[in-house]
Amino acid sequence: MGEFRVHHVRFFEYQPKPIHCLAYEKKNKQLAVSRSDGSIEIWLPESDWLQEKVISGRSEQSVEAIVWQGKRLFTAGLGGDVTEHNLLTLKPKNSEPCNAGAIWCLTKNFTGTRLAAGTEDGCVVLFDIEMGQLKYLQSFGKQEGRILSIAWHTQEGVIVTGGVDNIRLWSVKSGQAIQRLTLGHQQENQETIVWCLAITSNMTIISGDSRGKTCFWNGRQGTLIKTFSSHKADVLTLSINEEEDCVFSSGVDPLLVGFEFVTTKSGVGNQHWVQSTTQNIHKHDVRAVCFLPNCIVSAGIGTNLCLTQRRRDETISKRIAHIPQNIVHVAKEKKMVMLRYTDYLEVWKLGHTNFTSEKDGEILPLRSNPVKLLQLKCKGQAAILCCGISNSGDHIAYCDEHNLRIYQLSVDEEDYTPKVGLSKITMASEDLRVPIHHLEFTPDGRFIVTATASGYLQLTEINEDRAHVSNTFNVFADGITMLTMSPTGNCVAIVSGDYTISILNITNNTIECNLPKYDHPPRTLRFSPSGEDLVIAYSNNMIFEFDVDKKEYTTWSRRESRRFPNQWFKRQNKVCRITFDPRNDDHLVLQDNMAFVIVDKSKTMPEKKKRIFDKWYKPKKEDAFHQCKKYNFLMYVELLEDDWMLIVERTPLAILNNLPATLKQKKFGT
Amino acid sequence: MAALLDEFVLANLSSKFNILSVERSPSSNNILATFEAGFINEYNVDDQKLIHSWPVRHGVNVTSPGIWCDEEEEYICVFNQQEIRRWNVDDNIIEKTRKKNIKTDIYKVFTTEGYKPIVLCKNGAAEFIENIKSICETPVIGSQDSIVYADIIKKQNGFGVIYLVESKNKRTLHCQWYLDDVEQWKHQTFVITYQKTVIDYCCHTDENSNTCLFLLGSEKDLYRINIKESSIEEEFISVIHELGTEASIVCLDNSQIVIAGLLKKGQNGVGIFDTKYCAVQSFKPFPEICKVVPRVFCLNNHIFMNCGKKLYAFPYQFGTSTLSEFLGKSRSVEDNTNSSLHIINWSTKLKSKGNNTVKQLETILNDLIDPSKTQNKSKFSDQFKIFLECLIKGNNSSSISSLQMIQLCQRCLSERKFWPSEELRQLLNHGYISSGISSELIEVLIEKKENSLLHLSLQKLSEIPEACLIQILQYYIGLSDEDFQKNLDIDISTVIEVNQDKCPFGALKAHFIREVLSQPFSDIFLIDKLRKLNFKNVLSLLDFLFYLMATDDNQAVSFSTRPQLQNVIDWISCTIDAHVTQLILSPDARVLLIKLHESVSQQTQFYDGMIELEALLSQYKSKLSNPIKPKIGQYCIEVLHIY
Repeated sequence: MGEFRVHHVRFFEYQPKPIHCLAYEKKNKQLAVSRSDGSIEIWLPESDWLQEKVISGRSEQSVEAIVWQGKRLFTAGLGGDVTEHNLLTLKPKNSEPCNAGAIWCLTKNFTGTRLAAGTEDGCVVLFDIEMGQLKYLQSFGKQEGRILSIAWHTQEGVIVTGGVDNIRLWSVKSGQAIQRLTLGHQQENQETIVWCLAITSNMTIISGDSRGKTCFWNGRQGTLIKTFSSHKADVLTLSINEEEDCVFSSGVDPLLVGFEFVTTKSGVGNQHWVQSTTQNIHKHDVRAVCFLPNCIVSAGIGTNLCLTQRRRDETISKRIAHIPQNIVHVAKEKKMVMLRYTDYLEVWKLGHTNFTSEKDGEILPLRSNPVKLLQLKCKGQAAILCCGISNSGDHIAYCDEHNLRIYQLSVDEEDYTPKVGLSKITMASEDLRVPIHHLEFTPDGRFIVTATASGYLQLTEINEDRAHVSNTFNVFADGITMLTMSPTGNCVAIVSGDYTISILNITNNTIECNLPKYDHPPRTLRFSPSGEDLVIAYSNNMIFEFDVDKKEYTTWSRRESRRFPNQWFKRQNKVCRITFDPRNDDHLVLQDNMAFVIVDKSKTMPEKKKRIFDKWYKPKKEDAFHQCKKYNFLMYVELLEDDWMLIVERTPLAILNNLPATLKQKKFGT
Repeated sequence: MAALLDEFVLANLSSKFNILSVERSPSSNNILATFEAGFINEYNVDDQKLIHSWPVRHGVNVTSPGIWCDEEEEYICVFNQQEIRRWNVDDNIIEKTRKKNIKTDIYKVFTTEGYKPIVLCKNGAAEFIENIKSICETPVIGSQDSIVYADIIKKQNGFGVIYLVESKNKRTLHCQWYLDDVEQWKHQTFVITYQKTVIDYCCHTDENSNTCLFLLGSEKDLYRINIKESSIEEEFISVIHELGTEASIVCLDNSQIVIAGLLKKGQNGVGIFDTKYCAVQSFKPFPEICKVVPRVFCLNNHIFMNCGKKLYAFPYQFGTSTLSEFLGKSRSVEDNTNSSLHIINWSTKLKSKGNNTVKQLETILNDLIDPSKTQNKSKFSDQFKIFLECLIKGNNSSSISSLQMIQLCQRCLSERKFWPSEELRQLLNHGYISSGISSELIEVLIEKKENSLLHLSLQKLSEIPEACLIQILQYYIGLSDEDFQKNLDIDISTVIEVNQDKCPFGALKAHFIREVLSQPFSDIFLIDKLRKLNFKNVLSLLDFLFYLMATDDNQAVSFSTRPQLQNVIDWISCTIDAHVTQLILSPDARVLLIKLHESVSQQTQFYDGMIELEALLSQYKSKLSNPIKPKIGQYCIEVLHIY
């Protein structure tokens, strides 16, 4: 029963974008991550690093700085605007230009009423963000050269900016520079750029510059306290903790270097900044470092978030590799797979073989190779927010920021080379709510269920060459974060912004039920093939199965959900996708980034302390868990009919090969 | 290529006559032979019959051989240097024929087609016979000069009489050209640079009037002078290694000459030498033993020479020489230059300390090689010690060539007053004896019964010829076990114990013979040489080889011991092949052959079983070997077993 023939797909050239900025909001425990394409991701570190939301980026928009103010998120970029984002609708809410060119850096004051932006023209521009507004306030005196880094002293009166060959202290009151700190040159005629700054409450300025040095300055006297040649190349980012006794810096040289403010002997005068730790986690440039309550997050060109924690005198690092959901869709009837890229879609016809084999791992000879049927580019090079393909493969749909586009796809396979026809289906209705963040075709392909992040759920009916909105449900004030369609076609399950899971009957337009709330937000959910059960995987890897008809947890779930082994909950990679075995109703296939596990509901759960996922553990047929770790960076696992399985894999090496070159460093033996 | 055919006797002579010349006669089948003793005979070559004979009166010397002149239709001859006799076919007695006396000594009378006879005097004057009296007293060459060779060459617009003149230190070529258009004589003189002693001369003019004059030097060198209208070209052709001390030559054409007096395989004979490929083709030994090398003449596709009391004719076939016919026939080039013992210093520095060492080496080497300088053993040993020390230190061994070491070895081997065994041992140990001298070395070591040195030679020398291996085997098998004990100079621990009941030889003897059997060989040559092994030794050898192959004794043949089983089997095969008839016929070999047959059958069965086992093992290996991750590429359909 555990034998499959796998369509092993590696032609999906998914490439995550480098990370530019990180910002942590302590109160809401949210981490904002901006990427090079202008997209902003909201992560929940406390919920096992669940990626809650994604605000898609625009091609002309770059994000150079992120600042949280409470629940408000502000970004600034090379467009010269400070933008406030609506985290419900996932759209820009407000935007204010600085009138001083591109904005390189952004900071806020201690009280959270002002934003200060460092600009291309050399001005510090203040914005008023009191009372929920975003307004241009004033501009300081212009200085020579751009301002690349900025920090606001906690006592409100002083702003520190870093530029080319200088660090300036500005009086907020007068708007004039009150102090200028000059940096030395590494080489003659080569300017020193101050890439990052921080300031402590006792006016100690910490700077990271292009010489690879992390400098500690006495802000009051304008003198240099100490310089550490911490890196071999530019220091691009640094972060100071809340207690102001620990600083981490990193940059082009991807070493994460920590500095601590230690007391050598008793007495205030004997406190010094010393270089404490060095972590070698990243291979590529590090663009952002951020302190979280119990760890340090760093990220950069390498595209992954890296956590560094100190536990009992040892430093542990781990990588959070995130594979986005809903970028691979499959039309099971026609064995077609749709792959979603940033601004285009590809539809492939999978290959075929008649051969079988008893030997594990054997590659079967192909009777027909996979064929790329279609590459559909989004108009205006806008980013595609979501897409879908009907089960029969007759219709495809995608949505960008402004439009939902539906197409009819016809594939004539009689000839050796299939002939593909694509015809647009006109969207007749003006009621359609955009941008759509979630999209699902009904099993018969006649309807599309769409959901916006703001909470609108709509049903669009497709009639030959025209489509119109047949129904709109507006019941989710907190927005919709997840959507899944029942195989019966009459129910959808929705996760709202407050993590409530609701089952909605789209036929009679009623909410069937709301599932019991759980401590943790759901990560993924899916209806069973019969449509009777809804399986939910929460952020902590808890699996629940809900009987839709009975409106309660299933017997199995009541009995077994909390009896999963401890090791299951401690797994580094959490379940991000659920699928079912068509040959066996008792089989649940739970997929994470690095492996997938088949849970046999008919078998007894092992003991809680049993380490069933260790390397040396030899699984038996009577075990309830069967793991497959053969594939790295699993993007999509889906069981098709009979013994067929589709696995879309994107190897880490393939991702690494497309990243820019790293800093060349002399290594032993090379 | 020209080839000499089997000779036949043209004429039996009553006593040993030296033939002066063989010339054309009126009939193409006939020749005119002039003998020193006073006969001018005409023979029919095809019928091998004497047609005419003109005896010369006693006291009269024939100084220019009889010739036939087509123009005058008469025979011409010169008696006593100044008397020209002319007669025709009908004349039987020469004394009664026309004569003409001139006042100058005549060297030779020539005839050529379309012209009257030409007389060449010893003073260099040449003129038609009618006019000779008028000019014969006008000398062309000096009184000290003498003509050593003369011939007539036909040209398009006339002819020329060429003659080589030798004086004290000079050799000149005189050409008297007669030009038809002006009907005058033109004289040219060329100085020949070749100054060495010449054994014989010959000349040939081809259809294109290219004339070549060949000179055969006393140092076995062949020299050619191309005679042109107004110049000559001299060139050295080759050294004829096969040449004996005396020889005579005659041209077949411009590139092939017949040489009588070649020495091949210890036999004197006549052969055709090709100047293009510088090799002897078609050699025929003399039909009789000749104390003096006879002169050869070429006429009518026959080579004529008298040997003993007979006049022989060698017919020859003419053809164009090709390289394929000469391949393998030319001898290796011998270094004619004085193979000096000058040691070359390879140091790149102009002045280096090495120079002194090299000079010292050269001096010591010269002393070692020269028996007169190191006459006794002690001197030789002392010098040798110094020589070896110099050689070993400072990479001086690169300065010494193998030629020089061969000479040193030859001195050691040929020395009769003392036997430098220790020196030879040193040379062997240091690898200074080249394989080229291995045959000579082994021969001498066998002669001196130096078992340990022989053993060492087998270990140190490479590419020992199969003939030497068989010699050593023959020698070893002939020795008794006690003989090997004498002067034993090997490490006893390396000697493998043998089963005395089964092994035909003692441990030491077996050890020595093993070394011989371990040497590399070519079976083609080995079989050839094995035939020289006497039958008794063959049986002993086969017995020993059988012991090596078939005994259960683990020490007999294993991977670490020598010879390997494969070697032993090869030796058995070659030995049997070489003596198969004898082995079949001899009753002594019967038992041995039966035992060999049984053993081989068993071994064959065993190895067949091993082959099956090998197949099984390779199956297991492929089943249980570490799995290699297959390259997947962008897409594949694969089988996955999860549980």
